[in-house]
Amino acid sequence: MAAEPMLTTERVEYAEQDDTDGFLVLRHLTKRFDSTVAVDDVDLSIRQGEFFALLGPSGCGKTTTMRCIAGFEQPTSGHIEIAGRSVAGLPPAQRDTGMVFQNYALFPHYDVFRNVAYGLLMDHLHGSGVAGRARALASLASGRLAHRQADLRDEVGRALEQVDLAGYEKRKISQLSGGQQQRVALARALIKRPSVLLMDEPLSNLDRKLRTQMRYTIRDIQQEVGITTIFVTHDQDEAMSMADRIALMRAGRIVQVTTPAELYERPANPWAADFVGTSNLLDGEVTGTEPGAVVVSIGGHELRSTVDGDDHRPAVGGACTVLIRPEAIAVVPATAHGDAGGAVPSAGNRPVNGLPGRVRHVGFLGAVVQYEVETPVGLIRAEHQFGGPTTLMDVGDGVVLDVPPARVRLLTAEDEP
Amino acid sequence: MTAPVTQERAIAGQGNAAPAGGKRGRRARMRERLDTLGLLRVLIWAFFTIFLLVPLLSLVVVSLTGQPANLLGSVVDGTLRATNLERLADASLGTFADTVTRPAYVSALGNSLTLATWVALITTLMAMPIAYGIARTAMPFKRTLSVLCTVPIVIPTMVGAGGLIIMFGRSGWASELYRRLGGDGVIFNVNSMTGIVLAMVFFLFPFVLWPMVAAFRVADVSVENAAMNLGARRLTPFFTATLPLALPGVISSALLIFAIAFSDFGAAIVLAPPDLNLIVVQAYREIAGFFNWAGASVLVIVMTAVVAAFFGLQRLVLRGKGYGTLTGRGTTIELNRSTGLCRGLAVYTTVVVLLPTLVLLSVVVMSFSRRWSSSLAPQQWTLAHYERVFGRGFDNVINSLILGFGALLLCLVLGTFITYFVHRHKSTGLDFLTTIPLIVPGIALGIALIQSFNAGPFVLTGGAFLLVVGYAIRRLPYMLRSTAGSMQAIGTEVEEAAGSLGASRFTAVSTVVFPLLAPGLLAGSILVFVTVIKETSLTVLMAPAGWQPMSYRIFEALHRGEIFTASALSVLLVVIVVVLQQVAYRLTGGMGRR
Ligand SMILES: Nc1ncnc2c1ncn2[C@@H]1O[C@H](COP(=O)(O)OP(=O)(O)OP(=O)(O)O)[C@@H](O)[C@H]1O
Ligand SMILES: [Mg+2]
Repeated sequence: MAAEPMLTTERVEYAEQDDTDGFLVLRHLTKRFDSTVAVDDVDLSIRQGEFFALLGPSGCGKTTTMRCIAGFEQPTSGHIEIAGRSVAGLPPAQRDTGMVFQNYALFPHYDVFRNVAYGLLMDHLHGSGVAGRARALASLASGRLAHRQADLRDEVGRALEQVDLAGYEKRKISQLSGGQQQRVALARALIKRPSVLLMDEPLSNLDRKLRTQMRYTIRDIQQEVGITTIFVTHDQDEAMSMADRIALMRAGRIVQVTTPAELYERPANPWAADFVGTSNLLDGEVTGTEPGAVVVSIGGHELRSTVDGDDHRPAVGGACTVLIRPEAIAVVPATAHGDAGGAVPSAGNRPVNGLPGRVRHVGFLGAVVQYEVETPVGLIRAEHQFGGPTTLMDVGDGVVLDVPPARVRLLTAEDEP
Repeated sequence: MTAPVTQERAIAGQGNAAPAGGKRGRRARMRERLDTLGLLRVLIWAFFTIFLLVPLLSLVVVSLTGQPANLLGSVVDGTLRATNLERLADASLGTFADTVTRPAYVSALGNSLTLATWVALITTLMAMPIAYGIARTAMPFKRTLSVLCTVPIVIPTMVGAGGLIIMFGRSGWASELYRRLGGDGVIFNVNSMTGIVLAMVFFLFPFVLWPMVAAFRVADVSVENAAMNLGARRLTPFFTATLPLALPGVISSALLIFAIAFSDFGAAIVLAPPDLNLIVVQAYREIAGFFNWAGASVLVIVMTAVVAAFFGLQRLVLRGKGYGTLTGRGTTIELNRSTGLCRGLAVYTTVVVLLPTLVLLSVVVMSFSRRWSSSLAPQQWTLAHYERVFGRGFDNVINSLILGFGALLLCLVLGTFITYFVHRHKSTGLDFLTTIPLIVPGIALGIALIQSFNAGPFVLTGGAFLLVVGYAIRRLPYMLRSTAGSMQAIGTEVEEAAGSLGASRFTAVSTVVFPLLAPGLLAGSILVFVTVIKETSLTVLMAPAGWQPMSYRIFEALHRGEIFTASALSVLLVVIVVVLQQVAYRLTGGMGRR
């Protein structure tokens, strides 16, 4: 496994950078099932109060990572620390975590009240005092007895209020909608005021509309409680719209840890770029450098990319992949530039990239117009805000694609499969 | 790969300020294993070792040494150990071979195999059209006929055999009818191989019918339609398309009924004439008559081997097939609506269910008659038999209920935890252990238990406990079969959720898993209870004097020729079984709807 140098340095950087304020820390976490390595040497450091998303395609090890944190799986090797305390060998209940399961895992034979109160009842049941234990047993056996206990009622009421379900105490689980069940699961996980909340694809069972709505609901509750949260998802929209930071996973390994905007704008490698958002990825070769810019050649066409300070600067003569996001490309009618072709100078004196092409498809989505343009370097997608019917182009129109150099990113190909 | 592990230990040690990481881990693992659930698992293994494995092993030892063995006693008692070891030194396959080749035993085995072959053949062929009718046609009165086809299940074969005597015996009403119509003597001799085959065929056929219905449902109907479209006529599509697809199911049912008929005790003990040697009867007589442990052990080991072989064959036939259960449910099934075929099948089915229905009715009528001999209807009526049953005989009813509930309770506890261990902890050992009772005939289990517990220091024969244990072990597979489905429907997540909220493993299981298992447990309970109170072989072998249940009294009454008492008790038994089943269906139906 010849690790690609850039990724390795990056990972070390993150680990060092975050170690000081890491509230939940994973170090060299590895989990193997027989022959499959589900989680492969993962390092993460999550800050207190942070909403942290684990994003990645199906089977990349997100759930396994989370289950290791929750204590449902024992790591093959590595180390997990919550609030400065190692949790190795601790059972799930002693890890101070609350978990929301993908299918909610509510107890169908209990009403909402007892579902939410379950954690408290367990504390009474396993705690000291015969009277407390007896009361807990009675409450588990009978909903009416459970409702009668003032301390339970207060706590459960508070938790249900938090998730906006006050008054639903006596409902059966089967009498709740999907979104309500989701919120009961959240209330149940929060009732013991854990220091970490773990959520495994909590929205995947909801229909689309509810899903987007619940994103904000969950985010709001998280902010209100201020709880450190790990949110597992394979839906990039969910991760991008909810999380403070995202860890992008692939085949058990962390590809990148960063904020949503950074992840979109500076993906670590072509795979990450492709996974997050739509992208134009073109294979090229670095042909030279100019002050503040790098020149790449893609099939004979030159593109300039302005390189920020912290970007990894590819060596001249090296192969690289060029990433251009569709919305960064301006599609201009060819006539506006006279003859098509070559670099087109425009206002200001920074270098400008121009690519001649012909419109192949036009997708009108209302607010946004998508173009697919046939260019000498291949098919390129561009996206525009809809600016009125007169600005629309037709299939077959000759165009020039204007790409601001600041939005041309150079990525070094990762060498994993 | 060792480096990260060491690091983990070091860090873990620091974090918890524990003296040594390794020791802590081991202790934690010990604690993990020996919590309440772990302890229960050990107890369950101990239970099965003491009441199933050791008794069966003892049987093998007995069959090899020709002398009684007391393995459990040997564990605690030095002198017993010495004698047993001495006997064990004489163990040889020769002893087994000598015993098994005794002419009486060889003929008994031969007769039983013949009997089972006939029963399997006739039952399978007889039930096939009915199965097809129920599964694949729009036959008229399908529901009523289906119900009538399940009725024999609730009737112990012993009672069925008694009913056959009432009908076809020398003074039976059917024989009388036959004579009035010009016949001579009797239609056939009830106390013969024919009688036993008939009793088994008509009272065991539901065991073949329902799996076969499932098999016919699975076979793809479109194949049959295609064959018809292609010009196949009448029975051709059935034989070329449907039957081959349903064949594994049919064969497996035949193998199953073979095993059941081979080891069925009730019909054989009631109807077998003195000159007809059957292996079940022979084994019973060796024990009940002569206390010949060696002979009885050899016989029941042979029986177990035969049943096990057929059980194995059945698994082989069904391997990879998703059906063979009583509840095979395919997708929507297209029904054959050909009028002629449907009517024909309905008439045929009616004829088949007519006999068991008439037998049952005869028993009912007999239970109300003072005298009914060589005439079509009873000469005198009376309620005296029921007075007796509800008077002096009521103890037997109470005993039945107590023993049934005892076995049920044991099955509930064992079944619940075993289901959990098998499905959650993937305990293949327990899974295997609990299939053993399926291949051990009742008479074999009974003899094994008596052999192991009738001598000190653990004497349990004579009390109800051993009988309850025997019942529970024998019927536990029924419980497990009905809980398995419920268990699979319960996700592991609810349990994990409970765990992460602070429940211990035992609390999580008992507050979350078991309540969700309830429907399966209830369905299993009914099966267990019903089969226990109609159980014949274990009862007859093991019931102690103070604890004789109804089934024992019925057997005794039939044996002594008290046909009226036997009838009244049988009717009561069937009524209890039917009522319980109805209550159960109501209950489970209600739960399903909620
Ligand atoms: N109990 C297990 N036994 C064996 N392999 C497992 C087990 N659990 C997970 N795996 C394997 O580990 C890998 C990671 O699984 P995991 O469930 O963590 O993926 P995931 O990222 O959560 O995927 P998804 O988005 O589909 O939920 C997969 O290849 C999976 O097959
Ligand atoms: Mg997952």
